[in-house]
Amino acid sequence: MTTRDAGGESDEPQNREEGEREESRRHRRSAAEWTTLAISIIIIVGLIVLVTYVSITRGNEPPIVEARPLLAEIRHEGDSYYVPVAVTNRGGRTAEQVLIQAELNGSAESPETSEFTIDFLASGETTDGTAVFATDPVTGEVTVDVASFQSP
Amino acid sequence: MIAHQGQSDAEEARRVMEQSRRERQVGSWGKELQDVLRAISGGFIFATPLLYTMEMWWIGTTAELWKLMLFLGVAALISLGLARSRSGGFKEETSRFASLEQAVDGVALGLIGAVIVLTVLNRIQLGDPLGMVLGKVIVQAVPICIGAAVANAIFGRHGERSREGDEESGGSQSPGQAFIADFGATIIGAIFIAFSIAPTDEVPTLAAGMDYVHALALIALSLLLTWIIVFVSGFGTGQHEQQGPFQSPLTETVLAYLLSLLVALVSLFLFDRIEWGDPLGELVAMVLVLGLPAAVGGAAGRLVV
Repeated sequence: MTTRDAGGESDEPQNREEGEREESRRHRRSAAEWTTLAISIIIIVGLIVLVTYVSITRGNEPPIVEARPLLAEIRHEGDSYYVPVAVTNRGGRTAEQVLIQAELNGSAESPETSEFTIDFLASGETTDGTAVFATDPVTGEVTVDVASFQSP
Repeated sequence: MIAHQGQSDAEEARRVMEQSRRERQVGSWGKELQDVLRAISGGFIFATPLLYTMEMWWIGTTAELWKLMLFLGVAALISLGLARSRSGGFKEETSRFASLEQAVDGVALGLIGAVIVLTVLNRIQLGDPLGMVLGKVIVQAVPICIGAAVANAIFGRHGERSREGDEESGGSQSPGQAFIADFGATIIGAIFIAFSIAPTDEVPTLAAGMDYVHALALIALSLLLTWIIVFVSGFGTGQHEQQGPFQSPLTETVLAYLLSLLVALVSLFLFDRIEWGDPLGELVAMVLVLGLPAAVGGAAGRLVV
């Protein structure tokens, strides 16, 4: 392996060979490399632990989507009333294209409706949407329904 | 007399050897860092278009975790195979242990890189469900891992490729010519990646999710990645010998980033994603969002040209 010594320096071939071998060994497994490898292994083991934990606790039931209006956070901007709606998926799998419909039964003859769609709602995720009405929600009753969703 | 001289020669030789050994011990950290930086560079050059793909974020949300883990496992096997080959991997060695090490390091780097980029782009936040965060991170770690495994093929083993280029063109170049060559290389590289992302809906989507802190983090990340790629593709190994006003790594990094932002602005304009009179905040956010891939491409431009 180290016999390709340059000619003329063969005074201490033994020493030189040992030195080179030692050097090449240190080069292969330096402390720096061990450190990187150790950190990498810790990260990967951590990932496996987290994935296992999530898989065990999450379960595999289909999406359970709930929506509730946040009546305390209603905003009045211009002629409109903004009613934030919190949508939560308590199921184990992701719901796609979640359609939320809000209805305001106020003093007017026909109820006012508003709807919005949430693209993706992962297991355990809560996302906020906003329903917009022209009349003050305080004067009537706001009902929020989950109209539909898809399974990916 | 002769014996005396021989003794002092041996002493001299021992001293030199001791010194080189000490240097090597200090250098092993530097070398490892250089290897890791090369892996990061390769990973991001390969993975940037996929990091800017919303289907990738969706897959992370909807796919089952075991399937994604299987995917990551396949990526690890691919990088193991590539590290065994002579032109793959991101280190010099191709021994069995070294290949395994590179595959493990590559997966870990992919995971860290995915966490950082997804956080900066506001695709994952504290308080998100753990399963969703894991899914997004794992699916984005895959391309970074594969990119790291082809880093040597992109950059050449310990910078050979850039050294050749410098010897061919750098020797006779004046600082001005070198500057223009780098300038052109940066613009071409930035166009190379930015043009494939500029027309997509990801740019406005990401820009909409940016607040002040995310924008600052995005600038910092873009500059850091530019510096890493500039460093790996020549400066760190001391082959970039050209002298000139824009030939220090720091200046080159800042300049490359500014040029990349310009390319991002122009390509967004040409693809009709922005126009005069758009709100300034949205415009800046979109340019910064597209600035990251443009900067990665721009910094890597010297390898393409």
